[in-house]
Amino acid sequence: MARIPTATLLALVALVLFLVLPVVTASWVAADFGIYFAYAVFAVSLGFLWGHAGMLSFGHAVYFGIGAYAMSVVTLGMVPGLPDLKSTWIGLVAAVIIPGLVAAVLGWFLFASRALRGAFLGIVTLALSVLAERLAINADWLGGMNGLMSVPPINLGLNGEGADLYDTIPVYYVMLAVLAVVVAGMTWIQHRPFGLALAAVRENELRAATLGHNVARLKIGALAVAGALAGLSGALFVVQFGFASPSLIGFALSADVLIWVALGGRDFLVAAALGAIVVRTLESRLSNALGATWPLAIGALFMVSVVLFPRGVFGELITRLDRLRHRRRTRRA
Amino acid sequence: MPDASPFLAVENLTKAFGGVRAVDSVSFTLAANEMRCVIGPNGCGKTTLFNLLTGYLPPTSGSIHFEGADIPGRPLYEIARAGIIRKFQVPSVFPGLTVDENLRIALAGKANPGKVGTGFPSGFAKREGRAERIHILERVRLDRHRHDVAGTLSHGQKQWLELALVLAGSPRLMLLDEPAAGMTRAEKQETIRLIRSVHDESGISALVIEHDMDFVEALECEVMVMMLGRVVASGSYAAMRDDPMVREAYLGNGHTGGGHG
Repeated sequence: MARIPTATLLALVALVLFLVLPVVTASWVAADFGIYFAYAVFAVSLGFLWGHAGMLSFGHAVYFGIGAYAMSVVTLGMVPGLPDLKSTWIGLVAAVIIPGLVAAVLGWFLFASRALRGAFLGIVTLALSVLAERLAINADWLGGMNGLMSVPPINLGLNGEGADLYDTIPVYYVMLAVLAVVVAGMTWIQHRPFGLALAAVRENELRAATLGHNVARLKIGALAVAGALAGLSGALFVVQFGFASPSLIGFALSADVLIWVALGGRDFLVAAALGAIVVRTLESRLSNALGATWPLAIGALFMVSVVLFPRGVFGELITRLDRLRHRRRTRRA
Repeated sequence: MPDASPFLAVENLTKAFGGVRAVDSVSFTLAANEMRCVIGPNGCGKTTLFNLLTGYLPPTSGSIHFEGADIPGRPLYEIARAGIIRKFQVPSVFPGLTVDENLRIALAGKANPGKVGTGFPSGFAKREGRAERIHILERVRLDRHRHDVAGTLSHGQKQWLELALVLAGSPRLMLLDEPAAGMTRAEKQETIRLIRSVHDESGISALVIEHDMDFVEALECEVMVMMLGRVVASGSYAAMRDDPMVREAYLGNGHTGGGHG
């Protein structure tokens, strides 16, 4: 009998817990978690790019922000020349395709003729996120510094004329469902030839090339997929939060998502997702308990966990459980 | 040369690193279905020659033609898809992935007939079939380790996995850099049997770098001797063994040692 991977088991346990969470907690908790699930999709996107494909990005919020702005512009009816367009669905498509394309074009510049990697790739992406934030601040048609306010919630109609998905509990379950599908889908991609080839590039780029893999195209593909997914998460965020601002596109959020993924564990997508949810939960609890000093507590927590669990908290958990299961299995055999 | 171009033609190939000519005006041809050993003392340019043939290094001058097509200047993956597949001296399998995943990667990368160069995503051949993987792993005696993580294999097993990756890549020309380095005597015998059987059954051409002269003898193929970047002699194993210059320069001192070519 094929063994269920430990990461999948952890994902299923987490799914069951999140399914019952709204039943046992106050509704404001569920409202927070709906937003955390959007962040978790964002973390899965970086986990795929960094953990699976080995491409570290310091500017991943660029795609998140573009997704959030794309959704806002469409649903607020601000698309130039199309004042009647207000469809959530078109917004969703734009929020996926535009950042995906931006990522692909960027990837083409970075990888097509030269092979930018490691710290250099990090520095370029860092510069990009700072640049993107400045652009957003100076773009008056996007609200400039103030951003875009009163972004509508998900509207079930074809062009914004249907019912709004506004109540906390339905939104919570929709976000949970999207997160579950994203984790499952991206895990599936990891085991397809495309995903395997990316793992090969991560482990040994030269070897992958000498086995016939076009490394540049694979990297561009990985960046495009991760960018599209980050764009989706930005859209999921903004339909709940109702407000798109330049901070969504900048360096601060790019650093946040790195922390979530590093703390959760970059070797497993589910670990990255749980990292986002746990850090966000801790942040909100700590800010209540500690007031203005909560970032210090988070920073200390990050440093301690990186030293103690270099694979991330959930990455470590999965690895240890896996070893335990393996040992029991071999003992039985 | 008759009008048909040779399978592999190397002409005046030179690679200089600063003032050092690691490969110096090397010329030879290899026929289809031919296997040849490349021997020579450490630092004689054997591995550099492989690096030039696979496109890993650009030559300083000279030409390489494979089945009539120019090799230098083409990207690594195109050369691999054209059928020149290499086994590295130090096993460079993908250590964090399972044996099976390693093979799937090699099968996914290989040439897709009629679609060469289209790359992602149609470049992924549909032929990464389970049966083919099991067949290749049986050949290299790794079928029982299919789901093991490659990094946990023994050194000899990693060398065989390297060979399996080469086979999975559907090579027209195999470049095997010290396929038996660091192996036990029994493993070496097994490796010789494997290389011979692959060559005899499918007629895949091969260049084999090897230091162990018993290994070279057992492969029963032509031998090309390199020294200081040049090809100084070639012929049968017996002729090379009896050549006084080759004996003095190479066989005389430490011919069992491994190391960098």
